[in-house]
Amino acid sequence: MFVNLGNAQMKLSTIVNELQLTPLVELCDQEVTSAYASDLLSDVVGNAQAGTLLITIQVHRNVVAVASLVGLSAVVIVHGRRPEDDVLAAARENHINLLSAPCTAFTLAGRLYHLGVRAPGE
Amino acid sequence: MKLFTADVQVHSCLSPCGSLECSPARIARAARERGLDIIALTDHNTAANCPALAAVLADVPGVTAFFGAEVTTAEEIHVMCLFGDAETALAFGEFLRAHLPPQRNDPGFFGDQPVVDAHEQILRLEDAFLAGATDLPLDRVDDEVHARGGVVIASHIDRPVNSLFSQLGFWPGGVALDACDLSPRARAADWRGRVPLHVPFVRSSDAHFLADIGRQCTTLQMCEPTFDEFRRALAQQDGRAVFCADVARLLSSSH
Repeated sequence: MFVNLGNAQMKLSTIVNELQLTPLVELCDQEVTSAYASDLLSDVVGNAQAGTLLITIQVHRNVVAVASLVGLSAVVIVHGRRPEDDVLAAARENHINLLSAPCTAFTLAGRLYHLGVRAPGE
Repeated sequence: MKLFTADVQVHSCLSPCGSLECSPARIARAARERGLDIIALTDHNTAANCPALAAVLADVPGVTAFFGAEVTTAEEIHVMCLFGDAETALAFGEFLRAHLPPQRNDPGFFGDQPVVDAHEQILRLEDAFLAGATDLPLDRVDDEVHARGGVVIASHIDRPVNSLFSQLGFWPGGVALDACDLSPRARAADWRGRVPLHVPFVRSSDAHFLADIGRQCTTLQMCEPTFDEFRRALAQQDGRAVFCADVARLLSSSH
């Protein structure tokens, strides 16, 4: 029987392979310590932590700035939304792991939870 | 230079959340009775009641109107987009129409959205989903309004919903906003550090009811009450200035 003893640390590359996420920029592999889903960047600043993977439909370029500020391990843009080129350029410049997934935030969060990833602080 | 009192955010009956009593005719009358020099009509994602306000003001001396809309961007940020004449605002409104969501308004839930004339006659009921968000990112709205000669003011930046900071976390680089609007209880000092120094604060009533028109105002120091002077005042050019009192502070210090 599988017993989850808390937030499993996991390599981003493992998650990308398991959930078939599409990198939008060249990825720099690192530990994903938790995951958070939100489209309000003020909320992300307040509640995400270093190493958190963010699930969002927010494609404004401030998402890259917030990722840099907080130290997010990755930002996954869900439900097929496509950031503008200036957002991709900012992600490259700031070494932010920006990915996309065709599924909804709900579905991606469920899959991540199933892999053992938890919310920050859980 | 003179001082002019301006309420730059007023909703009419056309806004889904606006009171049906807020016809352009009554808005103009309320503005005159309360001694306002300038009012701006900013319905949600439409400017269709602007021609009626322009027509009414021909009979209301001493009140100048600016015309526009409060646009909901794709990031769900509210921004006031203002122009100097009703025709330009109306054309901008038509541009917005193509960027609204495909849903129709549900009057039972959101309220009716009547387009009216200067005599309070209903011309038609707007059925676009004005309460929704456009698919236009903030940058695009900013560029479009400036290209049409207007100004862009971020609405109620201190509020936890639909504000620049609630949606984007902090000031976005590369966007040319002309001013930021503060709610009554917000202290300018608390927000000054988060907004570039050259961007002035304004206060407005955000009136959805007649009684609220002019409740919060901005004082503009400029030569005459025209849109061009307003633009120059926001840019603080050649002695023009924008004064916006900390109302909550004034009230508390009077006790």
